[in-house]
Amino acid sequence: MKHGISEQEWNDYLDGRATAAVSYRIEAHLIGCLECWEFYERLSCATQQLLAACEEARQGLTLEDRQLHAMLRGVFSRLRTEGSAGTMHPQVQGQLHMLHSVLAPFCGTQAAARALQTAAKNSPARSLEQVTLDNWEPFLEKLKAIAAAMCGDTFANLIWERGQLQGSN
Amino acid sequence: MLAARITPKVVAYGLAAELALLVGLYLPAAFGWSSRFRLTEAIVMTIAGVLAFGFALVLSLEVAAEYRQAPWARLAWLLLAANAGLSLVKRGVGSPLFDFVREGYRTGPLRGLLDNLLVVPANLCLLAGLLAMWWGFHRIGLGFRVERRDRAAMALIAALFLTLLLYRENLSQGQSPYVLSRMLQPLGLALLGVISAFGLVLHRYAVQMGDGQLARVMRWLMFYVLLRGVLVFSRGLLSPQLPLLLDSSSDLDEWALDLLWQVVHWALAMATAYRAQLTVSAAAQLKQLRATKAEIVPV
Repeated sequence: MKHGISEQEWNDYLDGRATAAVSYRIEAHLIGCLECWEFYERLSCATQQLLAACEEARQGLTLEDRQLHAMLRGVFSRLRTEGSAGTMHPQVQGQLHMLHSVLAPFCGTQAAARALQTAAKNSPARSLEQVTLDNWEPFLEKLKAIAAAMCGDTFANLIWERGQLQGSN
Repeated sequence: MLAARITPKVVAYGLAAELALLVGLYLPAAFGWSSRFRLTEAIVMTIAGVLAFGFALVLSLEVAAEYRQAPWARLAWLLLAANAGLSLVKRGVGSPLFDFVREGYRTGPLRGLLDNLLVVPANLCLLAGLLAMWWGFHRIGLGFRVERRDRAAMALIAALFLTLLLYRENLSQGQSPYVLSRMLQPLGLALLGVISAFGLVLHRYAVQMGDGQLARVMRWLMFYVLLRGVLVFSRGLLSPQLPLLLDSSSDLDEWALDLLWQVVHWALAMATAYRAQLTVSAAAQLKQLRATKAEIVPV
């Protein structure tokens, strides 16, 4: 604090947020104090330059809608993955792992992973991470259809029966 | 279910037995200990060829019956069965045995006509079958893709066959008295070129699938498709003095070519046997699963 004016009060005054009483006190002091007047002018000039630089940076870094959309999609995707990774039901996780182990020797490891992802994508779950006990049945139906198209009806029946959750029919 | 009996192992034994017999029959003549056992060789080749395509035909039909819910895959295997059936008949009418009934039959125009009448529809069925199989996989949406370098290689193979067709004027049926034979032979060769190029799609799909029984089926189909193309093409390059696609088993080169053609026959049988075995394995696992469930929850 110098001459009874704190740093916070200077900042508020320069930003135009100071109360009427504080503004009056500072202005009354500035009339008679050359040192504070020069300090005020320096700060005021620096603040104006900062504001101008901010405006210039904002103009230069404008994001297009497409870029903004891509960034937001990435953020939401990460949020969804992080949010769901820890919450996948252990039974669902176990069943998915088991289905992969049934699919892989027949269709190949990579094709098995793709089949699970495609079935999830085309089911109400929309993604493998979002498969739950509630949307398991439609997911399994999609997977059965994929298995039938790839390896025939017997294999599709195997996938269907192996994929049934415990306690369901 | 025949698939349970005609396993890949049985087909492999068939191939190995035929090759062993043919080598065993050829070697004494090659070392000058005896004359060629041409009749016996012809009998072995004919029986083995008919057996291999017979296996492929019945197994393909069984596999097609497995795809009740997948019309494109069903169509693909029905067309492969048709290809096997036509190839079986072709193997029959092109048998070296006829040479012993009618002299010069194998190199004559009648055999050429019969050959081409069967080759063109057989190749058409094979191409349509492969296309149906590709479309069936594509529709599932698993994201299998043919890469740019594959397309370039496919274009190269097709271009090589086109070049062969354009620069080889003396196709074996070029002087045939049958107009149909003269027209069908280049068509059959062009189809073979397209099919060989398409073999690369099968290769790419097999790679993208990873390991597994289905990838093995694709690889054997690719081998069947490509080996045919390679044999015809190499014959055109290595024996430019001989008319393309004319049978002659006079020397070692031609004997080796005959041997490799026999491998082609078994390659299709092997592909279908592996595919049929997939169903057998799935059925066994399903049976075991149901038995386990029945034990846990007695009805």
